[in-house]
Amino acid sequence: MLILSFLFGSGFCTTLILNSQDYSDIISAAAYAKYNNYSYVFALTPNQSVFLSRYYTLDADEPIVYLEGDKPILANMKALLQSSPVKNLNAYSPPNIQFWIADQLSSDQAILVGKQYGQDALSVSSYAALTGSPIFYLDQYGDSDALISGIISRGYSKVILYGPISEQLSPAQLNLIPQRQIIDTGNRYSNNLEITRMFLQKQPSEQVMFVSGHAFEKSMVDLKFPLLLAGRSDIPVQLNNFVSQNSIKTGIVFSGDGDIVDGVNRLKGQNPQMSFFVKFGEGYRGTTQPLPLVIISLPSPQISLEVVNLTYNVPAKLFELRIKNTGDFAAVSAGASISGVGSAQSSQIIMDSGSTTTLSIPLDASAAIDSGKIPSVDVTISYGEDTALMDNIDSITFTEVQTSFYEDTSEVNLTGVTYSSSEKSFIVTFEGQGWVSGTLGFNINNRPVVLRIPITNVDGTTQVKIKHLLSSDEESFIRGIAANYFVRSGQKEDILINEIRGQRQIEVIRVASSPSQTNSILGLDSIYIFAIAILIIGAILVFKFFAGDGGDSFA
Amino acid sequence: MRFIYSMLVLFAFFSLSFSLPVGGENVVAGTPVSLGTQSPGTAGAWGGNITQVNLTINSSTLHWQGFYGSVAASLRLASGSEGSVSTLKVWNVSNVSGQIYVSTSSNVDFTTINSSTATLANVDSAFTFLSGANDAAVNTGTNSASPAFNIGQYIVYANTRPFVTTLNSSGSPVWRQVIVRDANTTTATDFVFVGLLNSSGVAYNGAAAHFQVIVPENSAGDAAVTTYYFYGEIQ
Repeated sequence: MLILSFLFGSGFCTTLILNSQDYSDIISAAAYAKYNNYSYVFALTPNQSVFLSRYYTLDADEPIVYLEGDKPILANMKALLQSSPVKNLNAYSPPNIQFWIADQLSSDQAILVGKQYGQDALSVSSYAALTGSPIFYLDQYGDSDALISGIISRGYSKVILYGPISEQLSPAQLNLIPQRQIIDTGNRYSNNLEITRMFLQKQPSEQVMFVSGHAFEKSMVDLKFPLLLAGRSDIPVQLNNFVSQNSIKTGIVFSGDGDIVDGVNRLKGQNPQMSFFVKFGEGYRGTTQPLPLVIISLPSPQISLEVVNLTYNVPAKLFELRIKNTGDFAAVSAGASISGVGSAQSSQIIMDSGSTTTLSIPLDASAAIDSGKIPSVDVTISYGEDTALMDNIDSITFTEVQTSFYEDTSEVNLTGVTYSSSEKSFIVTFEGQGWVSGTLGFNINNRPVVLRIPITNVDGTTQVKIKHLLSSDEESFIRGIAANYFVRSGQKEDILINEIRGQRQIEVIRVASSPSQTNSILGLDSIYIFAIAILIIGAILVFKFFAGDGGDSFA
Repeated sequence: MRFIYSMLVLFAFFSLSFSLPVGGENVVAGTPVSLGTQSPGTAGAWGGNITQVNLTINSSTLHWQGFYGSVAASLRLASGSEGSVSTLKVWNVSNVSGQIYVSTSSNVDFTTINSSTATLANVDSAFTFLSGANDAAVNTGTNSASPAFNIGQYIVYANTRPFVTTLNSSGSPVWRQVIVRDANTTTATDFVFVGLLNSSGVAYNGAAAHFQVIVPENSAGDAAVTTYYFYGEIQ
């Protein structure tokens, strides 16, 4: 710290040179450099490292801070720098760069992200730079106890838990983290908008940077301009609204971050008053042509689906599209179209990695059946890594589609949603016989919450525990909330036929972690008794409604 | 350096008996041309006579850096591999228009780029190594001489900004650039050097190019290096 303070006072612009293969080191160092107004460089190859070692040491008086991770790009880069004429070189090879950076900063706030979600680290990076907050990375294969212990020992008064990291932390670990602020809205785009709002509150701007979240370039981290995640072929509705509401006039995109090509064009089409600029290169002394930006890939989910087959269920009047998720977690929906008959769309489902399921597409195609088969069906499959934006679209034409006469006799009803403080989980209760999967969404204290219900066999009263972090404020708020949900159910695990979707009141109550608490159910708090009664009555009415006229369902 | 050149000229005027190094071509500021590669000129001398020699001394500038390039190649935004490439924009050569923006600022604020006019003297003040030099900005361009053009939604009116031209391989000043700034903090990062694109341009070295710009860069001795960032507008 003393050394760095000396560099501040020297009157030269300090350059931070990072030598690490780890993307988390690269982003953390970028935020740290930006916060300190350092120039920042990193290399992707040994040759680039050699170039940086020579280029940035031409001025012997220029202060250099050299940071080396435990997996450097160039092993002897430190020696190269030390052999240069630079007089103000401070080289560090800490065992853990995120902790080293945290110790250089004096912020009382830290940010915790999942290391497997590169877009989350990128998303918080500018806010981290603006506020001088260190970013910590929770490695799903690492020692989470050591990380939590390291965070706690640094005495932060507030820790922002960003993105879907609740699965990686135990309730005991969570309880150790002080003043948790949770930004986990169920999808990365709305998470990104939340942190961007926080950025703009501190640093208003009419210019933003649009990024895919799949790649990183050092100037994506900035103190003046926040960054917004855009989709590959489309943009989320909430992003478009955000741009309008915040009077964003100018967008910057980055050459090499081409995943957002169509998404940016869509945004440009919807906001013709906006100007877009592309940052495409860097120029160095001695080169007469700009060089490409140094772009690194960030870890992100792999989206890969395999279509198994398509059949038509005659009595149920729907197509059953059987698909397998050969990539990571994916959100999927499908549509079917027959010339002269019509078209229809399935609901959106969530598929875990390696799972196989059947999407049901309700369409009366009886008139198209010829000799027990349907000659031709056009199927469009939309999928993505996020429920908010399924921006991958594939179209397939099936011919000679087989028919089936399977009839669903399952009956599954949603009867309750509670939250357990001690387990940091929602508990969703179903009644009946069959299988169920889907999502359940609602708002708590203006924060959207989306619960993913995995494929579950319901046999009588069945509870599904879904881990989800709530702050203490949110926990005290979770009664009487409006819900927007759909649940898919069926008789077999791989054929989920009945669908319930729409907006109905869902009463979420809190399960007490301790009987002594005044707001405990076991403490017979009159409000909770009333809430439970309302819940039961509401559930009966809701499910009688669905059982009776189907409501918004496709059953 | 000027002192040395002056001495050389004086020496040439009064020298009687040996050949003199005479430079060949005029050097465009910013182009990395070395005088050492040129053949020396000669002047005959006879005893008792004084021969006047018109001497031209050319020098590589140490204060400007030149860049040129192709927009169509540079502005391609692509992803994917094995023939599956998504492309944001590829301009046909005949349709190239607009500007290229070059700045030491890693993030130019295009929303304020039209809010503060600049002068060449401002450039010299911000890039301190230019002040007082033969190739200072004030000796490189003309104030309030820019053509009209648009930056995003903003109109840059004619004759409001400093204007600089650079030469093609024929020595014609065909490359046009304008100097703007997105802030007025009197630092180098305020300034943006705007190269007006030319769909059929020829760079200083004869290469086909869509832009050619010069930017301040102190290459003298062990001066600190500068990184410039390049932007284009998606139209």
